[in-house]
Amino acid sequence: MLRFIASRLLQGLFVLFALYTITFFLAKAMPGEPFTTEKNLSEESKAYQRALYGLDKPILHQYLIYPKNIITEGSLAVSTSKGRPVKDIISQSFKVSVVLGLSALGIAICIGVPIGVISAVRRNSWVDWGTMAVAMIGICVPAFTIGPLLQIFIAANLPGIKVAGWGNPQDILLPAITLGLSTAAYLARLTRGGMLEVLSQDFIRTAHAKGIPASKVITRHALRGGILPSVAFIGPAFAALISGSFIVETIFQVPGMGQHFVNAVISRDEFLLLGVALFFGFLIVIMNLAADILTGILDPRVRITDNSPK
Amino acid sequence: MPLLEVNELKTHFHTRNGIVRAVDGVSFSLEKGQTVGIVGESGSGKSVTCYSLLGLIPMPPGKIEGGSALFDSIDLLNCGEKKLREVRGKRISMIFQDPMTSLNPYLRIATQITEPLRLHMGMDKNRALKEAIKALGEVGIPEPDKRIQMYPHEFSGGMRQRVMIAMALITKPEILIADEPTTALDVTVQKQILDLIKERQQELGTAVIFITHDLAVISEVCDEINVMYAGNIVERAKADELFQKPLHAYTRALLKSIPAMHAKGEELYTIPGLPPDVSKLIRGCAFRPRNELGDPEQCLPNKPTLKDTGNGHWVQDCPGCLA
Repeated sequence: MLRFIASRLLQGLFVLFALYTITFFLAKAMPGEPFTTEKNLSEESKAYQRALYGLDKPILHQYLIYPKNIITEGSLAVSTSKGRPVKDIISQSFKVSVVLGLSALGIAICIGVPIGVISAVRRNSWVDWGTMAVAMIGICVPAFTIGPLLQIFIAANLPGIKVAGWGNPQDILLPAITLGLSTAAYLARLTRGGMLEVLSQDFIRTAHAKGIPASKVITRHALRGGILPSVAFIGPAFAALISGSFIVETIFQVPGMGQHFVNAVISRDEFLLLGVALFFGFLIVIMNLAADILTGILDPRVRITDNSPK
Repeated sequence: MPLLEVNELKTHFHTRNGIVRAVDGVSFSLEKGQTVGIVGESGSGKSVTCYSLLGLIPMPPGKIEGGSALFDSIDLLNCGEKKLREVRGKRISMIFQDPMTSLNPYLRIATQITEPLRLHMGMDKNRALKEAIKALGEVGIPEPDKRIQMYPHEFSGGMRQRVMIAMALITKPEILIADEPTTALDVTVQKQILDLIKERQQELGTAVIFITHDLAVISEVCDEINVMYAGNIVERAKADELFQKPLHAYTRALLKSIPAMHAKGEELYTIPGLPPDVSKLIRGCAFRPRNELGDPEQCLPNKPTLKDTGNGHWVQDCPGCLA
């Protein structure tokens, strides 16, 4: 097990390095530079800024110095647009995004999984068709439609719920719903599919033949296998949820991390861009590993032991 | 009074392609400790007959259209899910064709095998585990106290079927339904499993309903044999009698097509054609189009009924098939 985790983390390092390389050269390929602004800066002050951020060095040097600084100093460089260390920017906004992402994931699991189970058990009934139609809508309707609708119909009518803003605990609610609904819809469909697959297996018939009540057949015998596809999906989905969403953050005025993915590009802030991209890649690697470990716990057939070939 | 008396059981499936009359008026009975075989081709309705008894037919599309199945004055077909659940897995249990897929791959053997004890006998975890280890030992699993903590994929096919048997018999049921329990196994393992079922049956006094399409298997284990064709029983007799004096043309054709009955090098006998499509209403004798050994000209235009020819030997009264 430890060997498995170690080897996956090593693979993750290669993934991150590839991600870094692609992001770095794409950022360099962008037209303009961080100091191209509407104000006409003098050539001297631009040169001074470039030297300050180390952007006057040869490309190859820049390409190598950034990962070296990460490893030796734990530094993600300084944002050219904000003048603050990228690490501070990420850690500050990530706290907000984690709270929002976890709430969204909680909502997604609490809605998606039960709906998937129910529609699988009552397959080809009105319950099934109804919930799956709603789930399809949930997948298709984008956040920038759901968000304003929630603002209009819920925030405007319920006292204590604000249309936008961040600060009180109840402010989490609407953005979390907006963020979580499409994940809930995916989870519902995946859980339904997984459950249908498991419920058609012979061992479910065996369980019924043993006289086990139908509800227990589902919870004890079917659910474990039925949620496996969802578990594989939740890993990367969770990484995406906690790294913020530009749209949801903009609609509800949430100071999360998602804004930086977009704003860093607009302001050609390549250090911030590299920072958030690498951080997102890191989350994906970790969450995929977590999902694989969880799959192993749920399904003994793919469980990894140290004496089995990986 | 027989232990189980099935009367005019009719199970139909309502599908898009019409009504599939999988079981269309089957009657048989089972005495205490007896082994009754049900033999027939795929799709003849032998499994559906037994699933109907235990309420394991998916409904919809399945529907039990009529009949009764009296077991200890409980009508299994009409007693309701709750009452049936008390019988199912406790007094009547079942083993299945494919041991590779019939055990839950996600749960330890211990969890699965103690489940009936805890559910039906109200045993606590430790006592159930002790009983289960004993039961595994009795079906010939070495080191049962260690093996019980393993998962199904760590067992071979034959071992899994032994686990299934131990699990089915752990509540000491009065009836065991064995649905082709040896079909998916190697020939060498088949024999071991058959012997095991017989041995456990004698120790516990369990009656067995044995479903198979393998005549060699059925001749070895059964006291009485029912031959099914297109959802009906066409012949019923004591095992020896059926093999020595088959009356119905279908039974005769089945026996004639056993490879061991042929001299070496001789061409194998096969029954021409295919079993009838039971989603179409069959008028008259269902075997008529394939009747080669009898006289199809004389086959009845309406459904033949079972008649007793004496000595407990019943056969569908169709002159064409008896010819």
